[in-house]
Order: sequence, then structure tokens, then C-alpha cells
Amino acid sequence: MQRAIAGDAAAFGELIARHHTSALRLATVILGTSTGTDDVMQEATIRAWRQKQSIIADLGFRNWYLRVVTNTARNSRRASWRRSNLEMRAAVSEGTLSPNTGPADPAELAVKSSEREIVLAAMNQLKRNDRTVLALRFFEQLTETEMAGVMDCSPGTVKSRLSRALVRLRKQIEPLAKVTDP
Amino acid sequence: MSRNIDNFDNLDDAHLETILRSIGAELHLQHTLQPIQAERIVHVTKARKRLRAYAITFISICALVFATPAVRAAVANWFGIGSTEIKISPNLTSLEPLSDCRSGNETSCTFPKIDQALAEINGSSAAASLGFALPDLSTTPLGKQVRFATMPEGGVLVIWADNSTLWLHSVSIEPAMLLKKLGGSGVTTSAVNNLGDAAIAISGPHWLQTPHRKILATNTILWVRGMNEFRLESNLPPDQLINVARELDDQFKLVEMP
Repeated sequence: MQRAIAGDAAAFGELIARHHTSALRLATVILGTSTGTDDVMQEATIRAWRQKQSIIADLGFRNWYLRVVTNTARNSRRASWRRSNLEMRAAVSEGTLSPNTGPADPAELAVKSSEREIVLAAMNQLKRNDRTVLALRFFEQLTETEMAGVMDCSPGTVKSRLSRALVRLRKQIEPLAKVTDP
Repeated sequence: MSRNIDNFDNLDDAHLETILRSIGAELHLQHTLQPIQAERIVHVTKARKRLRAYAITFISICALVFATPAVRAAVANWFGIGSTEIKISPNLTSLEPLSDCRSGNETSCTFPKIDQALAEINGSSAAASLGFALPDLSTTPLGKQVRFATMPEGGVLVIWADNSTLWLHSVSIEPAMLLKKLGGSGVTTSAVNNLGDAAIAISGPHWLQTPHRKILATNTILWVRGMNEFRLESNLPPDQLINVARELDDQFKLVEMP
């Protein structure tokens, strides 16, 4: 990371490549769609390169980069008007997970695709800030302290935002889970 | 049929969190552009540093105006190559002029190809313009080149009988310029090994946007060698075109280039 801060483009590029999937996933959640994430990723990378000397060592490169991506995606015009339409990858079914994030937890493998669909549909009903906090905690599996660094707020604020987001998610899940198909 | 799922009747926090984690692992992401390998960035970035030095020498524009394209060019190497930024938009399912051509709209059907309306020059002038003698370019399956032309963006265009073209220019071409390759969902990009310092293949019809014009393009190989950029375009299939590019690059290795 020191080399990246000093302007070593190769080192910086390696770090960007290493955290590309995490950053892309976060941008997708904030935008509410996978469409247009290229623009956000490019803009975020440009910003990150410009601001490389302001990398916060305590935060670590990944979380600092996620902060840049978060702010860029939030400022994107796409994020302000698009209705969230997050989707699962095609051909995902029970027991066939091939996760973007590494080997799956056995408990995750046991999750039914219908459960994922309902929870994701509920997430799509949430506001951007709620989706963001849920994505940082559960998709990127950051601790509350790390989330505070990414969101530039106190761990206490993270805790309350996460709690409220989960409550709102449950409220959205309830009607979706009891829907009767025609 | 009821979709009332047992787990949701008494959904505990732990299971909800497990579901959320599994969603994160399987969320649909648009992996249209991948960061290029760092190894390739090194070479291009060295060229970029020199390019920036030239830019400071030759261009006196205000720092803010200059900084934007320079920084954009520096990081473009993660999403493009040399002076070219590659943008693939999945929304662009059909390229405008192609659909206009099909519908008989001749006005917008006539977007130029790269070799249209250019001033032709002879081989000596081409060498003088580039600053080095061109190697023998007749050894590839494209055959003997028939024409040379100057490009409004700078550099020289070599045009073969089958309308395949090779655009050579220095990376110091208009330092503030950034070419843009724009393509729809049918366009694919891939890194090419063993070609120059870094190379990318773009297959499918797409736009090349320059500060001077918007060009309709087809299969293209872009590569960088030292301070020079090469853009080979042809109707040949991408695999064959890559081989042609390697053969041409081998010829350029034999000449002394800046």
C-alpha cells in the first residue's frame, strides 16, 4: 500500500484489481442495478488515483477504496432516480453456489433460492442508505468499526443504522413471504 | 399455490443474516470491464509519465483543465489501453448507424469509417511524419499495403487492399486527447498476450470517438509498444487478426522507433 500511496501505478492497479469485485458489488447495491456500474467504477478509480495520498492507513486500502466507491455511487445521477432492481446471478439454485466472495459457508449453501429471492425483493424496496448499510455488513462482511470507516461516521451510528435497516427489511419481507401466487 | 415459506414464519436474526450473506455471494454483477493486469500497467504508465512530461513542455493550459485528462488517461489503463478508453454499455444493444442503415435512413447511415476523407501521402512522407522508417508490412496475410494517409488526430494510417487499416501514432499525440471506444452488448473486449507492451482485442461493431470525428469500427486490435500505439482494424475474425497484429508487431521490432 505504501508503494501505491507513493504513486506506484502497478501497486495501485494491483490493489484496485484485488478489490474490484467488492467495489463493483457495492456500487451495484447503491445504484440499485448492475447497469451503469462501469461509469461509477471508472469515476471512483479516477478519484481514488487522484486522492491516493490521502489513503487512511488505519482504514486499509480496501475500506478506503470502498469509501470512495460509496461516495461516487451516491453522487451518481443514476442512483437518485432509478428504482432498485438488484438480481441474483442466473442459474443459482440450492446447493449450486459458486460465490463471488470465496468458498461458501455450509449454512449459506442450505439457503433456499426462494428465500434469497424474497429477501432480495425486500431489499429492492429499501432506500439506498439501508441497502448500503446491509451490503457493507452482510455482503462485504465488514465489522461495525470497519463500516464506520467506510461510511465516515461513528460505530454507534452504524449500529443504529444497521438495526433500523434490518427492521425495515423485515417489514418488507413479511408481505412478500405470504404472497399467494395466482 | 402459497409461497408462505416456513423459514419466514419464525425468521430468526441468524438465518436472515445467512440469507443476506448468500445473496451477497450471488448478486448479479455487470463484469463488462475488468481491470487490466498490473504487469501491463507498468509499461504503459512509464509511457504516460513521459507523455505527461511532454505535455507540460508543449502545452500551457491551466492546471485544472490539464489535470482532468491527464489523470483520466493515467487510470484509463485499467479500463482501456494507451490513449483509448473502452466503454461498453449493455444498453447499447444495437448501434445507431447499423439500425439506421437497416431502416433505410441514409443520412445517419453514412458515418465514416476510419479511412474515409483522408489526405493520402506516399511512404516517404509517412516515414517522415512518424519519425522512423516503416518496416516491410507486406508479409502478413493482408498482403501488400496500397495506401498511406495522414490522420486528423495525428499519426499515419496504412490501408490494405481489403480495407484493413493500421493506425500508428505516438502516445504523445494530442496529450489531452482520449479516444473512446463505445460498444453495445454485442461487443467484447479481451486482453491479448504476447503482443507489444500491452494489447486488447475488441470484437464486434462499435464506435471510435475522437475529438475530431465519430468513426464506425469493427474488429480491432489495440496495442502499445514503447512510445507508439497501434490500432489494427479489419473484417478478419479476431483470432486471425491477433495473429496478423503479432506479425506486424514483429516487423516493427526490427525498426528503430522512438
